[in-house]
This record gives sequence, C-alpha cells and structure tokens, in this order.
Amino acid sequence: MGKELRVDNRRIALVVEGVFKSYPGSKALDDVSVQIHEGAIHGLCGKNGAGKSTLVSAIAGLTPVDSGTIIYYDEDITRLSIAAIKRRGVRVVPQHVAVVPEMSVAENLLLGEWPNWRGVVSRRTLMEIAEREFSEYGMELDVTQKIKGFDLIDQRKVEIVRALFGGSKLVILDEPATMLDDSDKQNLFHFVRQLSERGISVIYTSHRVSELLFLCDEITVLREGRAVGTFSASSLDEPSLTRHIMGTTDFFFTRDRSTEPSEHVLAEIKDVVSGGARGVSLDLYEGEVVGLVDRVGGGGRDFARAIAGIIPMRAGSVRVDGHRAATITSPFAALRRGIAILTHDRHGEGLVLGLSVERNIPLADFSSVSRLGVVRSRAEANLAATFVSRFHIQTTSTSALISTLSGGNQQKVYLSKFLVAKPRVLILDEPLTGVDIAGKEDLLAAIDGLRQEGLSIIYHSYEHDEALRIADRFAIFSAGRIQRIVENEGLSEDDLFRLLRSADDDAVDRMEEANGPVS
Amino acid sequence: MAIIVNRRQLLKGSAAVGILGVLNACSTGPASTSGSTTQSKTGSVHYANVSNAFYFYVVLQESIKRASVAKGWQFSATNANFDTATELSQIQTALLQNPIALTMDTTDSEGLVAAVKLANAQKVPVGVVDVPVNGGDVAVTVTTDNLAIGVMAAQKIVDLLTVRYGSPRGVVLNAYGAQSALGWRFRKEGWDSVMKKYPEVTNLELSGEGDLTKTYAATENALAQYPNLDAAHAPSDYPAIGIVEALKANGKLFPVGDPKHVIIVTIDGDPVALDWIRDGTSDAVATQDPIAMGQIVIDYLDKYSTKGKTVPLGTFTSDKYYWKSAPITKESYGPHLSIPPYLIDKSNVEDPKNYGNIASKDWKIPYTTTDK
Amino acid sequence: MVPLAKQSETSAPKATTTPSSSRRATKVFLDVVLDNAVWVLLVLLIVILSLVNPQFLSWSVLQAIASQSAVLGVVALAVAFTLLVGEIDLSVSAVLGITAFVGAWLIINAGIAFGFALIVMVVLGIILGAVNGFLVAKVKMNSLIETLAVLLTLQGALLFFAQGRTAIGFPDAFLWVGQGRIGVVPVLPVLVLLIYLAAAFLLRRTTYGRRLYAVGGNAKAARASGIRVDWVILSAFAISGALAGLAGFLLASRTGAVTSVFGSGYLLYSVAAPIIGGVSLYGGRGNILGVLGGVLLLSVIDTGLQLARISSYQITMVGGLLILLAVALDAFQVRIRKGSQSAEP
Repeated sequence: MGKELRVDNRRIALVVEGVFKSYPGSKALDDVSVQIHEGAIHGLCGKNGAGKSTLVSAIAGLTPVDSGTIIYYDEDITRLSIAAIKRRGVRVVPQHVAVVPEMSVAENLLLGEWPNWRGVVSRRTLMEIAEREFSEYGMELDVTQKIKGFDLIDQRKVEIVRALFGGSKLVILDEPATMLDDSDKQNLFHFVRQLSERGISVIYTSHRVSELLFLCDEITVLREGRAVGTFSASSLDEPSLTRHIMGTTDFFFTRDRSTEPSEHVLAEIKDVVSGGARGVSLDLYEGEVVGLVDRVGGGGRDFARAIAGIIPMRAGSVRVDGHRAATITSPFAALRRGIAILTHDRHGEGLVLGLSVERNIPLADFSSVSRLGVVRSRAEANLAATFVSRFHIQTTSTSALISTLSGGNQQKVYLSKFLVAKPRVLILDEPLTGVDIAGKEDLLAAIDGLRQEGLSIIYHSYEHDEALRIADRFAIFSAGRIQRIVENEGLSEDDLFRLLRSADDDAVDRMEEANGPVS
Repeated sequence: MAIIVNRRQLLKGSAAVGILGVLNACSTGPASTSGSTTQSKTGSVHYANVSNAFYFYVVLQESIKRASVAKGWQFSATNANFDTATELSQIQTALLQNPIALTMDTTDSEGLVAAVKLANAQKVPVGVVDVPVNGGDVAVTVTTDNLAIGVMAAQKIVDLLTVRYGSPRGVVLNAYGAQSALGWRFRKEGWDSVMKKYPEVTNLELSGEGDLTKTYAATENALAQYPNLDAAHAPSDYPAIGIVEALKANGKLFPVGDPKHVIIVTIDGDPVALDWIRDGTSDAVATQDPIAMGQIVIDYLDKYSTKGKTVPLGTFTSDKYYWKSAPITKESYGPHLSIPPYLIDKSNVEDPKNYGNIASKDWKIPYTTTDK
Repeated sequence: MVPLAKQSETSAPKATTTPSSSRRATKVFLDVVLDNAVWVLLVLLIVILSLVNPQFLSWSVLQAIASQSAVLGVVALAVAFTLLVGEIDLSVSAVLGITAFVGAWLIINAGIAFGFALIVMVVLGIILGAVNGFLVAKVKMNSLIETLAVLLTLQGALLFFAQGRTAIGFPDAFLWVGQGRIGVVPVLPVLVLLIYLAAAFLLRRTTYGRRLYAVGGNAKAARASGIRVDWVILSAFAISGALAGLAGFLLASRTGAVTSVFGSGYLLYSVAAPIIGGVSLYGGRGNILGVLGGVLLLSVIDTGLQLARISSYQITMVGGLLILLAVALDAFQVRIRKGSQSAEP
C-alpha cells in the first residue's frame, strides 16, 4: 500500500463508498471506496477484469450496484437513472469516438439537442452556440465543416466538449489518448488540464502508466475488484505503479540480447510511394525489429500499409528472400510474398467479429486445416488450440466468439492468424493498443520470440517507450521519407523526440536543396 | 420498447392471435348472401380465380358461388393474382380436398394445362370460364368470344364516326391492354382486324396496360398529339375510367349529342359503363356476361359431369339471358360454349339482364366504396 | 472445442459456474428455440392449422407443400448466397424466366436433347450471374439497384422474345423431373433437398464457404487476410445465377409450359424466405437450415390458409401478418441474444 490520501480543504466532487457489485461467479467490485476532489485529474487503472469499467458504469448509472453509495456533490446518485445522472452533470466519454461523420462539427456537438423552433433546426443558433463553446476552451475550429475531415485528436476534443455541454462538472474519459502521436497527446493533456483548472473533475482511465503519472494528480488502482489504494501521482514512479497494478514484479518482458539480427538481408524495399510515403527505401535483415518513428501523416504508417498491400502502391518495389522484385498490389499479393500486417484497426480490418476464434485463425491460409477445399474441423480446432497455448490466449473455448475476448487476447488471435501464413516479414502497427499491462508483456515476448525465429519485423507505434523495448534499430521519418536510421543503443524517449525534430530539419534542408528556400 | 415481457409470452400471444385470426376469417366472399346457408354434405366446388382486383372477376366469382350454393354445395375460392405458378399450386392444394368439381379462370391457356391434367387424374370434372385452357380434358368451357367483342367495339366506333363525318374517318385512340393477358390480346386482335378495313381511320395505339393510371396517361398523350381526338377506347371499363378522367381534366369531356363529344365505346359492361351510357359520357359498351358464365358452368357440371355424363354439343338457348343462344362446339380440350357479346347503348341500358344491373342492383355488389 | 483451465478474462465477468441444472436446461431450451425461431414458428403454425383442419397433417398435403415449395426453395437459396456475402440479388426471378424460355426454345423449336439444353440453361444463368457479380464487385455498383435494373431488363427481354406466346410441348422425359414420382415420392422436392445438402456442405465445410462468410462478415478484414474479396463476391452472384437457371428448368418442368411472365411471382418471396430464415441483410450471418425454414414457412402459410378455407379476399392480408410476426420474432431473438449467438453456419 502507498501513502494514505491526504486530507485537505478542497471540495469533494464525488464519493464512492463501500460499493459492491457481483455477477454470477465473480465479484466485479468488492468494497470499493474512492474520493474525487473537485477539479482534480484522477487516474483510474488496473488490469482487464480488475473492475475499472464496472466502476465507471456504476458511477454513470448504467450498472446498478448491489450495495454502497455514490454521492455527487452531497447528492446520493446511487439509484438514479442514467438520464438523471447525466442531467446532474456526470458524463462519460467512451474510448471509441462516436460521431456522425457526415454531420458538421456543430451538429455533432449538439447531437440530439439541436436548437430548433417547433422541430425546424435553426442553423444560425446552432453555429453560434458551437463557436461559443469551442472558444471557451480555446479551440478554433470551423464548426460548419463535416467532422470526418478532422484529425482524431480534434474529434476527441469535440466529443469531450460535447460531454461538457450543459455545465457538466465531472467527466470520465476512457483511454482518450489511444492512437495519438506525441504532439497530439500533449495537445490532449493540455486540454484536460484546462478543464481541471476550470474546476471540472476528470476521471482518466488508461493502461499507460507513463500517461497516468504525467497527467494525473491522484491515481486509484484497482485489482481484482478491490481498490488497492489511491495515491498521489507524485509519490509514485513507473515501476511502483506497475507493481500496484500487477501485484507482482516477475512478468516484465526484457529483450533477449543473445540473438542478434543476422547479416542476411531478407527484404529489399525500394522507393515506395503511397499516400504520405514519398519514396521510402529500407533493407530488412533477418531476425530484427525495425521501429518506424514518425508523426501523424509523416509517412510511416502509409509506408507500412503499402508494402503489405492494404493501400495501393503507386511506385516502388519489394523483394523478399531473393524472389523477383515487384510492386505490391493487394494483401493477397503481399501474403504470397510472405509479407503480413497487423493494422492498427483490428476491429475494422483485422478480425471478423461474428466468427469464433477458431474460424478467424485460418482465414489467411487454409492449407493446414483443409484438404481439397474441404475444411477439417478437428484440424481447425487443433490449430486454434496450439495458438491458445503458445500465446496464453484467454478464452472460454476456441469456438467462442471473438467478440467475447478482451482486447489483448483479440490481438493475440489477430497475430496468430497471420502466423499461420508463415510470413517472412511481419508488420505491426500499434499492436499494443487497448491491451492491458499483462497482455502487453505477453505480446512483446511473443514478438521477440518471432524475431528470434528469423522474421523481419517492422514496428510502428506512437508509443515510443514500447518501441524502445523491442526494436533493434529505428527509421526516423519526416515529410514522407526516412531521414535517418539509428541503432537502438541506449536510446531514450527524449532521444527519439530529438531525432524526430532533427529529421524535420533534415527534411526541410533537402527540400530547399531541391526546390529553393522554404518559407 | 418491448411491451411483451418475455419470449414465452410472445409465443403464446402469437399463437392466440393466429387462432383468432383463423377462426375469425372463416367466411367466404364479399357481399351478403341472400341464398341458402345449408352446409350440404354432397360436396364442394372450388373456383380458382385469376384476380380479386377487378369487378368483372369479382362478379364472376360471385356468380359461381351463388350457383354452387343454390345446388347445395360448399364453395371455396382462391386468387392467383395473375401468376401461373401460384394458380397451379392453389389448384393442387384445392384438389387435396376432393371437390366435387373444379372451376377455374386461367392466367395462361397453356400454363394451366398441367392443372387440368391433375384434376383429370383425380377424376374431378373441370369447368373453365372466361379464357379457355388449351389442353387436358375439360368437361365444359364457357367463355366470351373475346375476338368478337373486340370486333364489335371497333365496328361500333367506325359506325359512329361514319355518322359524324359521312364516311369512316377520324382519329381513334386504342388504349390497349397488357398483351400477356389473353382476353385483352384477343380483343386487340379483333379491333385491329376491323381497323385494317378502314384505312381512313387513324388508329392510334397507345398501351394502357389495362391499368387506370397508364390509360389516363395514354389518353393525355393522345390528346397532345391530336387535340381534336374523335374517339377513344379501352378494352375494359376499369381502365376506361382513366380515359374519362383524362378527358375531363383536359376539358374535352362533352356528352353525347354535343358536337365536341369524344366517342367512347368500351368493353365489359361494369355498372360504371352503364352509368356512363345513362348520363351520356359514353356511347356504348360491348358487354360480356360473367353471370351467365358462372351459372351455366355450374349448371352443366351439375347436370352432366358430376353424374358421369358428357356435355352435349349443339346450341344452348335460354330466355334468361339477353343474348338468348350460343353455340357449343367441340374443341381439342372439350365442349366449348362461346357466349356472343352484345352492344349496350341508350336503348337497352336499363335491361335487367345486363350483368352490370344485376350485380349492382340485385346482388348489391358495390362498384365503388360509396355505393350502397 | 478446447476448453481451458484458466478463467476467461473479459471486462464484464461471465458466468462460469452454472446456478442450477434446471435453470441451465431452460437456458439451453430457449437458446435452441430462439436460434431456430423460424422453425419454431413453423411447427406452431402447423399445429394450429391442423387443429383448424385435421386434414392438414395428411401425407398428400405434405407432399403438395413439398412440391409447391421446391422451386421457391431454389430461388431462395440463390438469393441467400448473395445475402451472405453482404449483397442482394433481385434479378433471380427474371433469370429463371429467361433461362426457362431459352431452354424451351432449344428443346421444342430446335429439338436439342433436354440434357444438353439443361446445361445451357444453367450456364446461361451462371453468365448472367457473373455479369451481376462483375458489375457489383469490380465496377462497384450498388447491388440492389444493379440487380433491379437487370431484373427489369430480363423481364422485358422475356416479354419481347415471347411476344405474348407460351411455349409448350416438352418431351415427357423433361416433365418427369417436375411432375413425376418414384413410387409415392415426388421427384421434384427430393431433387431440391439434394441441392440444399450440397449447398450446406459448400458453406459449412469448405474453405470457399469460410471465405464467403468472412467477406460477408467484414470485407475489409477478409481482404487484409489475403482473401480475394472481388472474386468471392463475383462467385456468389455466379452461384446465384446458376441456381436461378436450375430453377427455370424445374419450374418449366413442373408447369409444362413457359409463359411470357414466367417466374415473376417469385420475386418477393425469394428475398423474404432467407431473411425470415435468419440470413442477415448485412452479410456474414445465416445458414441453409434457416433458409429452408423460411421457404417452408411461407409455403405452409399459403397452403394452410387456403385449406383452412380462409376467404381469398383475406388470405393475402393474413399471410402478410404472419410473415410480419416471423420477422419480428427473428429480430426479437437477435436483440436479446446479442453477442452470444454465432453467425456461423
């Protein structure tokens, strides 16, 4: 246990007192008590299944508790309806952005509550209100534009402002920094601090320890339904917070440095042009992990997706294992050459949610579970079982629907799917998104294992601390090209940021050389 | 949100609704029956109808029903909605109930041969009305001569044009019916055979498909080309309403006698056509006799076929009907009684034998929702 | 199925210990009922109809239902294939009509042997289906509108070629399939049942079937897995066309004639039957058994209402209400089962 919560004179916005919630066979919340100070940024963390989402649900009124009380500004809201709790100013912003893409920012902001006179929407009032709201938070957006044209970070902020609309005083943010690169993250953190300074209390859930420590004032850790404690962020560091979350220390993945990448070039990639990538060349060695470091739109993601055939390759060629060099035109073509990708969007592009675990796994390569086009279900089940045990995938059975698995386990299934196809080059784009701490370590270990087996792995992520743990070298992108390649010898996150900035300078220099001075 | 509490209640509820619906619906036919209500045990007659959507078919069905009930038989009917496969299936199902006789109108003369054969195999005598079936062993076929009726309407129009101009000339619209329906196809054939003989008459053919809205549109198109249209025709009264409405909307509807009157001669003889003749909207209608068809087919089935006898050929005569007599000839499918059409105009519109009068006045089958 | 020792780690804790065996039996029973809602409704309807008319449960009636539902079964299967892949094929009834007409012409007018003509009919169906598939998958047309346009075109073509005439004069061998018997068993429904078994095998047990479900379930993920989505969609339409051509043969054989509006009555039911049977409009969900259930339900409604002596003026309405009920039941069970029901065959 860490230090006790300090008693001070700040007002308490929310008190959760002795809350219990059980489902048949398990206790989701076991005597949980938390106090949220007004205007605090209060972190909430724990493994999957620890009770975070149940607690958030209970506060918002979505899940009734068995016993205990929840008091919001001296009012008992434990048994109130969802609508009533919302009216009182408690709002939740879910992890996945839920906006109507074809509607304007203003219409999204006031979704369902558009100002109207007898059913006819008054556009001018709508725009005025929207502009006023956003300027209060220091945001300058063209509120008449369709929201789909805006970056993820802006969409997230619109969602948060929407939640606050109407005078909310307590907002719960569920993993809001997912998939944001560093500068967008800073943008978000700055925004959240603004809210806190205005006296709005923020509950911030996340799996990312570094984020929590950076942003939050206090952090509550849940483990197996119990509140391990509430700590002031200043009293913790990453190892100690991780320890509180996990309960033990012996799970950390560390790179096995005994196997070095070989000298053998497994893949030669030349002059790839596609989307934001404007001529990228890279040689991949057998048994290595190359991290791609870029900003949003810097070209790293598009490069990765292009060589795997997800987006069309306008120019360039890939040559794997000595075979003929070719432009990759489709995922089918990429897989045939031994290139596989786990994209950042595992729900949209990775897994078929309506199918079971064992039916998702062979989708990239049926040859081991079928003969003459007929599937042998025993073989299918066995194949799934081997991956379940290899990656410690937690599921009730291999015939369970993929949608019932947690994020980390889904990611493991996603990985298994492409391993069936025996790729030589494996591309991972944000593979640890939405994965809890234990799952992360598992996956990193698995990735390292693949590296040792001789695969070339490309690792793209905006979470540089993850990449630092696994990569052998880094390709630094700027303006659609690789500006530098560095070995991962004792690098830190700050080093990577510096490298990014100097890569930007390099890019500008190159352009000026080619085209004259850039203003 | 769900009103029903759980799935069991939903299933129970739906079963209850189903039973109620079935029990409630166990009546047959539209109009009230003034005839007997005896449920005779001697047998049932089934009538496979082509459509419930047109007055003619409704009257035909009612005629067969009344005649059957008068014989002490039970009566059932189905509606194939102009689809051949549906009619075949419905007849197949009807035969399962071992009717004493099967009566049918047909969606297709060739397509329903298989149905007749099914009945033959089961030794159920078949009576066909309105449009013949070209195969199998049909005990008796009673139809209107659709070719002759087309000729009759065309000739009447030519005659009226001759009266107007002194010689057969002018522009006449034929808003002909969908050619996939046999009755309309024959009527057009008859019409064309007459029009061929009078080259001075402009025969404007625009498809009305036997549909009111399309006939309306065809009339407007005709007026656009020929603002001084002399005559108009549709092969059934129901789509002809479109002609009348279109003329009215374009200010071209003048009664008989008015020099600007557009000559209208239709086919069928529905109550609406009779009203048009009465008030001078139209000049004449070449009429069929669905009531006779129904009565005669049941009569013959009763007198001969259900007693194992064959229907005799020769001439049918009866004072009950306006047209008085009709030939019974032998065709490949069996004896065929072809009812001659006759013209109704101002002189005989009130004759109580016109089916339009019988159906609306005696049988009280309303033509519109406001009729009593 | 390989159960694991570890407890499932999902964010909402799942029930892993069963409360009592009787409650579990109830849950299993309800699962079965709702999984196969269309069959439950079918059984219920048969029970009610036989109460109203005891003759309903006789062998001859069941045979009649079997024969009458046979052709519908094949066209419903055709539409089901395109639904499973996330599209829809409205042209099936018109492909039926035009292939039947071509076959009739070949056999009756050109004297071609009926076996060969049958092959031509099916191949014509495949070609028409492949055209649909090409336009939808490669040219990226919206399948609803594209197949609707093809429907109108082919219906018009049939009217044009037939000129109002009906084709008759098939040889007896040809008619045997649609009208003949083996002993007391009619040939047509047995043949269709075999077709269903083949389709079920294709969808459940082959890699092709797996790919089809993947494309219907999440086309982007399927593509990213290296599945050639365009070809899968095209092939689904080709299969639909083949089945429609086959249906043309079967209906011509049953009726003994091909009219100028042949097949037009099947349009609505060919789409309704699979959807009632649980095949999702969004793709990736549904199975052959459900399609069969939907077909039988619609046929039982038609035949049963007629045998129950419901007035011909009311049958259409009552039938429509029953179909509404079936769809509502299916939607209801999806709602309460959300997530725990598999989409698989």
